[in-house]
Amino acid sequence: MDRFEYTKPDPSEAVLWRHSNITLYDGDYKTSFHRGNIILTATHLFWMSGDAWLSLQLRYIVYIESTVTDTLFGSKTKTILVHLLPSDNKNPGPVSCAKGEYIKLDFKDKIPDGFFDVFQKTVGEKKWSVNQTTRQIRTGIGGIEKNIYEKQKASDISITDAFKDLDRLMVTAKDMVSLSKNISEKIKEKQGAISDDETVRFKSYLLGLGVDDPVTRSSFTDSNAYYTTLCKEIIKIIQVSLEEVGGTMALAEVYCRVNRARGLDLLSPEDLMHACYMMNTDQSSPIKLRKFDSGVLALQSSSCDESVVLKKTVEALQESGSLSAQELSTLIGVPVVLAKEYLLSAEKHGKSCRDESIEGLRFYLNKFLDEYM
Amino acid sequence: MGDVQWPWQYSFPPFFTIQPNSETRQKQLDAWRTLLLDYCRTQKVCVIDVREGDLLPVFNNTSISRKLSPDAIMTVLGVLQKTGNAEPLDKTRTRWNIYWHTLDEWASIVYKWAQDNAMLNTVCTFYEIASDSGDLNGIDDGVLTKALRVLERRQQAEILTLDGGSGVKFFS
Repeated sequence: MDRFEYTKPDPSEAVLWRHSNITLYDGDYKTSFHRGNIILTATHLFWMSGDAWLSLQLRYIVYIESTVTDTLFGSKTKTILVHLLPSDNKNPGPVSCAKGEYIKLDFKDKIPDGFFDVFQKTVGEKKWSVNQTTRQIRTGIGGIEKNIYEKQKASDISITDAFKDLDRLMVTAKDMVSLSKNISEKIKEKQGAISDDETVRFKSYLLGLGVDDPVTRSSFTDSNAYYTTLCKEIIKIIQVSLEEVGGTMALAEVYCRVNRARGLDLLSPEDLMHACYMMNTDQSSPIKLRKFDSGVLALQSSSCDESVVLKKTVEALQESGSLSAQELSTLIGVPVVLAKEYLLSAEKHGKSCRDESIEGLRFYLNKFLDEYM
Repeated sequence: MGDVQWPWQYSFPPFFTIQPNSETRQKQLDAWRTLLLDYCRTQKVCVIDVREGDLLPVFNNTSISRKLSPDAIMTVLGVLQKTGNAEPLDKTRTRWNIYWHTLDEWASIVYKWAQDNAMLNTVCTFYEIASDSGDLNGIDDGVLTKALRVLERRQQAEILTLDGGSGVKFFS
């Protein structure tokens, strides 16, 4: 009897059988639980009378049997013997110490037809253990497929989470930008109250965050206006570094630098290219987009003189005798594509000549055309 | 056959790549023309097979491991053909005759040889002409025949077929 506890049935559980007028026996001893109703579910056997609810977890049941009772008028099968496992129940129950390792369910008249079979089947199905642990396939192709599926699901979830964060960040970043704009405007108004030094310092903090107000597509309806504004922004970002690298910068590097400066709300390569094309329509633009004969696109400062580049290339050739594009690129610190363009343009001007061999393309000073040779 | 005096271009790697810049290419091909004709004259090379260009040291400088590709050899030979210094021997243009003197020049040289050696109005064999100690020494039979055909057209000689060889009769 000590396996019983005070529990009401879970309303979601399906009732398999319901019957009344049943008395519980602990071993062979009659208990005070007299003439109650029983309810059988997939995992529990309940006994109730009035407000009192008792339940027995079916997992304790080893086996059940029906017994024949002799009466005055012959024999009747009206009792079911339920053999139980030792108790490990911590929940409060009606009896703390059992008198026997089995209980009896005593039906007043006879066991209803079919109940015994249903009871036995329910115990045999062990629904409770199925619920507790979902079976895991670990071997075979099925197992591998399942593993992969689980992993995909997990990474899917984490990616979605990550982007959720990014979206939130973008929203916050917009606020940050407008806030910093506000502050800088206020600083401008109160120029006198705050020292110049502080203003400059604050502005440098803002710049450290990147572009303070990135041009985004969503703020324009006309794509032409978008590109023109974007073009101005690119010029602003790139102008200083363009002078540093010597006046020419491949578009790939421009792309990296612009997006680095924007930090968020990145530009697509296509938008960048379109914006750069706008530079050539504006005569006064300090930077021009240049397309080399090989199709390489680069931004070139209008102050950058081609003859200067040519001279630099020729000097490098004179120093080292012969150069590949790779070597020139490390020598004067420009990307390999541009170094190659420099060498090709030197060749076009008759200053260099090529040597194509299995070692690759190298360029030499043009001795063919040098008169003194 | 003495050692060839290689020009400076021969050890200049770009020399073995046909230059795309037209001005540079012009100079380069001029240099090739001079080099190839000099080489053929000193080494008595009359026939060049483009496919076997690698075998000739002129096209293959092993000391700087550069060689002229077959396509480039064709280009150089094309330049020679324009000045009458080379002529393809077959339709696929793989075998070429090299004339370090043009055929007209050869014709004049042969006729002058006949005059100098008092061979006018007599018959002499190709062998006699080719064993001369001067310019004509070792001249290729094919080239000699072509030069004599030029003389035939000028009506200064006539090629005769003799037993065991060819001969020519020069007219005064």
